[in-house]
Amino acid sequence: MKKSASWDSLLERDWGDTWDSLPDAPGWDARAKTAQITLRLPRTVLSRIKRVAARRSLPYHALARSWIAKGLREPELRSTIPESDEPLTEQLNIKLDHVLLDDLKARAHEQRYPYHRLAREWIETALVQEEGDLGLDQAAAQRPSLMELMVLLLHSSNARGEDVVRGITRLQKLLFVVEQKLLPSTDFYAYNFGPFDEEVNKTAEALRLAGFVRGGHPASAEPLSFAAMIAVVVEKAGPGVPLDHEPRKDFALTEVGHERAERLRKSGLAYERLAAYVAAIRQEYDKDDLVERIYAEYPQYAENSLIREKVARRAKRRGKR
Amino acid sequence: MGSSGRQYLPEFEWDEANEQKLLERHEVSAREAEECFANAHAKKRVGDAMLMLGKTDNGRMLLLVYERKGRSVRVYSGREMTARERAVYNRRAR
Repeated sequence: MKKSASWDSLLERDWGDTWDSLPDAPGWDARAKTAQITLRLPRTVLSRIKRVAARRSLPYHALARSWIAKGLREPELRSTIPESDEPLTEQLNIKLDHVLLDDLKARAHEQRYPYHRLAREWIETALVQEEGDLGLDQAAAQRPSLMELMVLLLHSSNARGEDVVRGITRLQKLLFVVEQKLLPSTDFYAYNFGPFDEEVNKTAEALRLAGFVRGGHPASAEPLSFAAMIAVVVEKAGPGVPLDHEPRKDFALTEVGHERAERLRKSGLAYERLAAYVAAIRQEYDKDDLVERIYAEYPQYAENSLIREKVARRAKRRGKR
Repeated sequence: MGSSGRQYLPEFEWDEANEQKLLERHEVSAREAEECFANAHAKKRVGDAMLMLGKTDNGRMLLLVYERKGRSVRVYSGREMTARERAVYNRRAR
C-alpha cells in the first residue's frame, strides 16, 4: 500500500482513547529566514518565462517572483487561461520571504484553492500580458527544437522498416521536409546540394557525443569543402564510380536514444501528435527519389545546387520507368 | 496566523498535488494545517507517521497526519477531531 493511502487510514480511527499511550512525536527545527516555493510548469511555459526575462534583462526567477507579488496586489486575480494538456514536467524554484508566502497562502485559503496553483496561474496570466506588451509570439516559443525533431525522426522508420538514415545529406533533406511541413519558418537555405542548415550537422554531432546517436563521424558544422563537394558529385554520378572521400555517415539512435525519444513522445499529447506526423513524413519521403522530389517541390531551395541538372535527368529517367 | 508561534514553525513541504488532496478530500487548506502547528497543539507518533491535534485561527479543531522529512514537515491528510479527541486536545495542547 502506498504511504499516502496507508496514512489516510490513520484518519479512520478515533484516537481519543489511546492518545496518552502513544509515544511523543519529536519537535522540529525552526524554519529558515527565507522560504521557497517549487512550482511545476509545462516545458513551453518555462521557456516562455525565460524568453520574456531575457528581453527584460532580468533573472527569470526574479521575474516570476514579481508576478506572484503582482497577483497579491490585485484582489481578485484568477486565470482565464485554459488549462493546457501539456504535462507539468519542469520545476521552478522561487525564493520568497515568509511574509509574501504567508500572504499567498492566506489568499489561496480564502479562495479554497491550492496556493501553488494560484501562483502558477498568476505567473501564466502575467506571462501572457508581458508577451503582449513585448510583441512576442507564443507559438514561436512552443515550436519544437531541431534536436527534438531529429530524435523523433530517427525514432521512426522508412517504408522499408529501416530506422537508419543513410548519410548526412539525407538527414538534412528529411529534416528540411519536416520543418517545411510543420513549422511556419525555417533556417534552411539554398546551398550547393539544395536546402542546408549547419545546425543539423551540429545537432547530430551533439546527439552523438551525448550517446543518443550511433554512427556518424564528427561532422563539420560548415558546408562541405570543394573537395568533398566533388566527391559527392562523383558519388551521385552513379554506382561503380570510385570514391576518394570519407565514407557516408549513417545515423541511427542508440538504445538510450530510443528510450529518450520514447520519453519525449509520451511527454504530452502535442509530442505524440508531432511524433506521428514526423513518422508519416518519413514514410512518405525517405525513399530513393528524396532529392528529386525536394527539388521539384521546393525549387527555390535548388537554385544554387551544383547537381541540379543531374537530379533533373535522374527524375526524368525515373519518370520514364 | 497566530503570531506567537509563527517563528517556531517548521519548514513545510507542499506541492500542488498534496495541497489539492488535502483540500478536496479533507477540506483543509495548507494555511489551516500550518496554523495548527503555530497554535497550541498536541502531537504523537504512530510508526513513521506523526499525529497532531491542533486548532486553526478560526477555531477549527483538526487531526493532522504528517511526516518529518529532514528539516521539513509534509502534511498528508487531516480531518475534524472527534468529541473524544477534542477532550484530549483541551487537556494536552500547549
